Amino acid sequence: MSAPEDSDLRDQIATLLPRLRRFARTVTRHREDADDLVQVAVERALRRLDQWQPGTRLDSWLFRIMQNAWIDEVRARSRRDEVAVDDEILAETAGVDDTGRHVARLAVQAAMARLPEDQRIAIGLVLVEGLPYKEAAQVLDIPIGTLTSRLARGREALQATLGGTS
Amino acid sequence: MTHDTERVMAYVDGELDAAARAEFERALAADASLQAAVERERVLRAALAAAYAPALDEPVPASLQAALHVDTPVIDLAAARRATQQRSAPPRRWHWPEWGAMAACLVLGVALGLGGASFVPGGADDVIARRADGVLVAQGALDRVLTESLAADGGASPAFAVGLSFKARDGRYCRSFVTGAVTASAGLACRDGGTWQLQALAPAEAAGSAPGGYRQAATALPPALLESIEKLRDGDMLDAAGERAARARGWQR
Repeated sequence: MSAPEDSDLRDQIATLLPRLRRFARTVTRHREDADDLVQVAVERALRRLDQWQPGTRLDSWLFRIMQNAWIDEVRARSRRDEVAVDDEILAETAGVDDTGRHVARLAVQAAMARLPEDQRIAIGLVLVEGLPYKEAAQVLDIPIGTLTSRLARGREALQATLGGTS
Repeated sequence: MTHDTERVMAYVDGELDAAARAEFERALAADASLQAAVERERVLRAALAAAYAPALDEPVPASLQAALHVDTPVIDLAAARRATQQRSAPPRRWHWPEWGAMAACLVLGVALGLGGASFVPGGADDVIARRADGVLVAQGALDRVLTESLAADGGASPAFAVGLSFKARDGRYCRSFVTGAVTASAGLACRDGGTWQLQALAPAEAAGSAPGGYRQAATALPPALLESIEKLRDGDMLDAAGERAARARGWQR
């Protein structure tokens, strides 16, 4: 089938799957949509493995494919309009002990869910996935100044929602 | 956005070069409100990391892994055996203490991944094996998957997939299973009385890298496990109809 380097790349993508799933959750705000997005993105990546530039970050390349797949395909069929995000996140806590840590996680996820999409994705790339500004800006195909302004506005909104102003 | 917030953000994100960082830290040392601003951003970063970290520990759904292995051939036991024999190192034997440790990993991985709630461990139901009279007995999600799932249906559970089913020499029905990539493990369980007894459990990555197309099959079922299957089995693997019939009998011999 494919060249040996292709199968190495597949293995590398396989080891990145947990991180792709995590990023997808910040993008989609929904567990099933997130895996749907990863699936679509991985299939796209496999069709164009030859376009990945050795020496560049594979995770950034995949995040970029994911972001594009979200905008031009997955978002349209996502479940985001079926259930209000807050209700859904609350529903997931049913029957689970309300430990402080758990509640804190849900609060952060709910606050993220309320952010405008461009800010949420910027925050996901830099604050959750830990990409440098330069990489994140390339993933989103925007100038660094635009990225930092999205990060600043997103952070401000999160701090306001989470009551971090005190 | 003020100059200060921009600086604070870049500092917390590790985006300042050495000179700018040193300058910022000098200012920071003398400015309590700047210190509070930095602390606030650090708390937010930590909260975001914690909120999404559990996603990393969940077993990756089989469908996602399958997308990466589109060319996987059907598992061919004869080829698998040949590949095992060709390996220079002798196949690894599995002993009880190791199984115990592996089971502990499985319990942890599954506890994080199953149970309806997306982000938190579920209840006791997510413990997949317990020790009874010196043997590990499947329970919870694993017991359900082994009892109810047919390989022909594909992965019924996000955390487990059944693989091969066969009848052992002693008449018991046995089934192999694999778990998601995060805890990547493969196991073998045989029906004994009313329970599934775990016969073997091996980390899937122990398969190493066999050459060519066998690679993916080896990832699913480690050689040590294939060897156990070879020792146990009596006759061919059950086909879809045989599997369904065995399930209908409750996997009783």
